[in-house]
Amino acid sequence: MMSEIDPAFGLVVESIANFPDGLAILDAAGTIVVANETYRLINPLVEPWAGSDGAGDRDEVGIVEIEGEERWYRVVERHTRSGGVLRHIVDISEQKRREADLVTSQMRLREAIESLEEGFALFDASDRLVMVNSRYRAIFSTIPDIIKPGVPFEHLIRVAAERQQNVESLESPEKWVRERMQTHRAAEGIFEHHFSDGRWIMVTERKTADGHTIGTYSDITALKRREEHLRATVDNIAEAILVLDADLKISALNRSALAMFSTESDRATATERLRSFVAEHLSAQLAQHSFAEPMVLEHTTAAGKAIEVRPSAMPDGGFVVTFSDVTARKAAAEREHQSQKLEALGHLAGGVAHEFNNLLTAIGGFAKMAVRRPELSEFVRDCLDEIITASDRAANLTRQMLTFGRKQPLDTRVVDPVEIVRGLDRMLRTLVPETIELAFDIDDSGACVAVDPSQLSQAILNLVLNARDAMPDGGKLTVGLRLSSAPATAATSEKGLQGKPCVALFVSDDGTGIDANVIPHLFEPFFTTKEQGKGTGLGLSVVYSIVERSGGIIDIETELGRGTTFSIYLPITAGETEDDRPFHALSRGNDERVIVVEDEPGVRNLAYAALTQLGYHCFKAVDGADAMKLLDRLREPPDLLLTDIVMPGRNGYQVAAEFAARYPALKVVYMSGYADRAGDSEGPAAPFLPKPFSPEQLVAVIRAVLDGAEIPRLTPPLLAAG
Amino acid sequence: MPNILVIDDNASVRKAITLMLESDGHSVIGAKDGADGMRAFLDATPDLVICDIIMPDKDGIEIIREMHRTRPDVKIMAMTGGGRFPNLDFLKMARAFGATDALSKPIDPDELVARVDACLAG
Repeated sequence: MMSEIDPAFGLVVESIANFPDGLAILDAAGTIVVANETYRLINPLVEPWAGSDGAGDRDEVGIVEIEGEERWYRVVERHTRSGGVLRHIVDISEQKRREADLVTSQMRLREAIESLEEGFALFDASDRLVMVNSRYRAIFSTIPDIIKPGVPFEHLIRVAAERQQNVESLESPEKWVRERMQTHRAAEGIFEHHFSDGRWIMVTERKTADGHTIGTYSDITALKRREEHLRATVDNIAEAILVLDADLKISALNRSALAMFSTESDRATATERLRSFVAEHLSAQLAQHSFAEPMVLEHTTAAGKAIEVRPSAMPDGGFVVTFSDVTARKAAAEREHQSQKLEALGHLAGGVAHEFNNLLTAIGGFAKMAVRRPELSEFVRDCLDEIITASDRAANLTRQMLTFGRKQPLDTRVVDPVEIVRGLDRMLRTLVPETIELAFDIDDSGACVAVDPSQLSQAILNLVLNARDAMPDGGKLTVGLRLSSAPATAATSEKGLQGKPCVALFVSDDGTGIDANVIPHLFEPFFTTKEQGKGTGLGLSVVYSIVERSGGIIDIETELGRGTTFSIYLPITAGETEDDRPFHALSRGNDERVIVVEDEPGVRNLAYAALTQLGYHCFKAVDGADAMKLLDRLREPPDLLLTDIVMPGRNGYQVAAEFAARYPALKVVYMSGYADRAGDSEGPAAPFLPKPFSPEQLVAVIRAVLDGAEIPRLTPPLLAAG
Repeated sequence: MPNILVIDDNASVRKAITLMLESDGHSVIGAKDGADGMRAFLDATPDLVICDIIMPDKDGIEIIREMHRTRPDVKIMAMTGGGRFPNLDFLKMARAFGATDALSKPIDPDELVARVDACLAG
C-alpha cells in the first residue's frame, strides 16, 4: 500500500542512505524503520556482541572478520524518548591501528632509551624529572631512592652533594649546587663529574624546543685513566712538548715545557713565555711549513739554556713542537772539539820537537863549544852566551812540546802523591822569590794514585810557576793535598769520577786572578797572558795533557784581584806503591810467526824489534807488494798478520784478505794512525790498533789476539774493524 | 885510532857531537846511516857507539841490536829527540837491545862528556 511520504522523512532516509557509516533507525520492537546499505551489510556481523536488545544505550567496540581480515567496529545505540532506537556502526580499524602504532613506537622509544650505553634523563621545563633509563640509575648510584618522576633537579643534586657523590662538591657543596643549577639551565653544556668513588662521568645537557632538558651521562673513567697515563707519560718525557692548534694557540704542554720556560714551574709564567716564544721564533717558520732542520736557539728559556726546537705538523693543521735541552751536548761537543784541537796540536808538536832537537843540538852544542875558546873577543863571547841562553830556552820549549804531544801514559806507577809534593819542596823554594810566602798544606792520608811521578812533578812545577807569575808584588802561594771528591762538572762525569774518592792536589795564589773570558783558552798550547818572552804558553797545556792522561780532571777557581786555585783531582788507586815493572813480563812470545806489514820504517822497525826481543818470530814487509812476495816465500803458516791500513799500492785490508785466503786460521791485527779507518773495512774483521802505540801496548795486543783473550783497552780505545 | 863512532843522519848533529867529544880528547868517527855505521863499526872497532834512533832506512834500534850481537863488549849509547813516539819508549827499547845508556836531544856538551866518560869507565 502506497502512502504519502513526508518530504522531511524522505530527506532523512536519503541522508541515511548516503551516510558512510552503518546507520539505522529502529522502532521500539526492534524492527528497522530505515537503514542504509552499510548497516544491512555490517549489522549481522556485529550482532553476536552488539545485538540490539532494547535494554538501553550502548557503546561497544568489537572485532569482526570480513573476508579473512580483522576489522574493528564501534556500535553506538541511542534510545529516543519515543521508544525508537538509533544504531550507528562505524569502522574504527584505522583509528585502532594508529593507536596500536603509537603504543608500539612509544615502547620502542622507551626500549631505545633503555638500551643506551649512556645514562639518559629528561627534565621538563620546570626542571622536574620526567624519565630516566636504568643506566642513569646505575651511574647515580648514591641517590637511587630519590630518582622518581616529578622530583626537582635541584633536589637530586642537593642530595647528591650531601652524600658526597662528587669530588668537586666536597669543598663547598652549596657553591657547587649553585653552579650546577646554572649549567643545567644553560642552553647546552658538556662537562665532567669526578665522583668520589673514582669514576669520571661526562655530562651532556641540551634544551629541547619546548624547554625540556635532555641529559646524557657517559662513564669515561677508562678514558680518563688512559688520558692520565698518557699525560703522565708525556710529562715524564725529558723533552719539552708543546701542542699548538692551527691558529698557533697553545693547546697542551708537558711538565718539561713548564720547567724549561719557568724556573718555578709556574704554569701561567711558562705559558706566557711560551706564547711569546712561539710568536717570536716559530710563527713565521710554522706558517711556511719549513721545518726540515731543527733550530738551535740559545738563551731563550728561563735558565738560559741552549735548546733544540723541532716542530712537526699535525693532521688537524696544528703542530707539535719539541724542545730538547742541548746545553750539555753543546758543551760536550765544544770540549770534544777542544780536545781534538789539542790532540792535533800535540801530534804537530811531537813532530816539530824531533826536528828542533836536532837543530838545537847543533846550535847550542856549537855555541857551547865555541864559548870555551879563551881567545874570543868579549863581543863574540856575549853573542855566544845569548845563543846558548836562547837555545836552552828553546830546548826547554821542545821538551814541553814533547810532553804535550805524548798521548800514552809513559811510566804510570802507583805512588803516594805526598812523596811527590815533598820531593819538590826544595826545588820550588829556589823558584819562588822571597816576596812570596810558600806554604804546604798537606793532608797525609796515605792514599795512592796511578800517575807518572815525573809528569806529575812537572805539572805541579808548571802550576807553581804560573802562581808565582800571578803575584809580581808578592803574596802567598799554597801547594796542598787532601782527600776530596771531584766537583760535579761535565768533565768529572765524562771521566767517570763522580762520587769516587780522589786526591785533590791544589796550587793556589792570592794574585791577579784570571779573567772569565780567558778561562776557555787556558789550556791551549801557546796561549799565554804573560808578557812577551816571559812565558811559552805551554805550561798549562802540559798540565792539561798530564792530568788528562792520568785519568784526572783540573778545576779552576779564580776571582779577579783575589787569586786563583788550580786543583788536580786524581782517582785514588787501591794497592801498594810500586817500583819499575818488568818489561812486558806477561806478553812474551813463544816463537809465534808474526808478519809485520808497514811502510813507515820507524813503526815497522819498532814493531819488529819489540816482537823479536820478546821471543816472537817476526817477518817484515815494507808494503803490500812486498807482503805478497813474503806470502809466496813462507814455508810454514804464519800465526798473525800485523798490517798498516793506509799504504801505497795494496792497502792493509787487501793484504789481509790475500793472506786469509791462503791461511784461513791466520789472526789479523790492523794498525793505523787514522782512527776513522776502522769503519771502512774491506778485509777480514779484526782488531784495530790505533797509532801511535807503545811497544808494551803492541805486544799486549798481539799476545791477547794470539791467545784469543780479551784485548786490553788502550787509550784511545781499540775499535773492532768490519 | 878513533874510539867513538857517532851515527846520526843529521850532519850538524854529527859534527856538533864530534866537536864536543874531540874537545874532551876523544877521537871520533861519524856515520850518516846504518850501513855506513856498520861498516865503520867493523873496520874501526870503536870502544863506544853513539847512535841516533829515528833515521831513514835502518833505525837505531835495529843498528844497536845488530852491533850488540856482533860485539857485545862494545858500549853503545842511544839518543833521540823524540817524535811520534815517546822518548822513553825508544830509549827503553834501546836499553833492552843492548844500549848501556840513553841520551835525550838536544845534547849538552858537558852532560855528553860526563856520560861518555862514565860509560867508557864502567
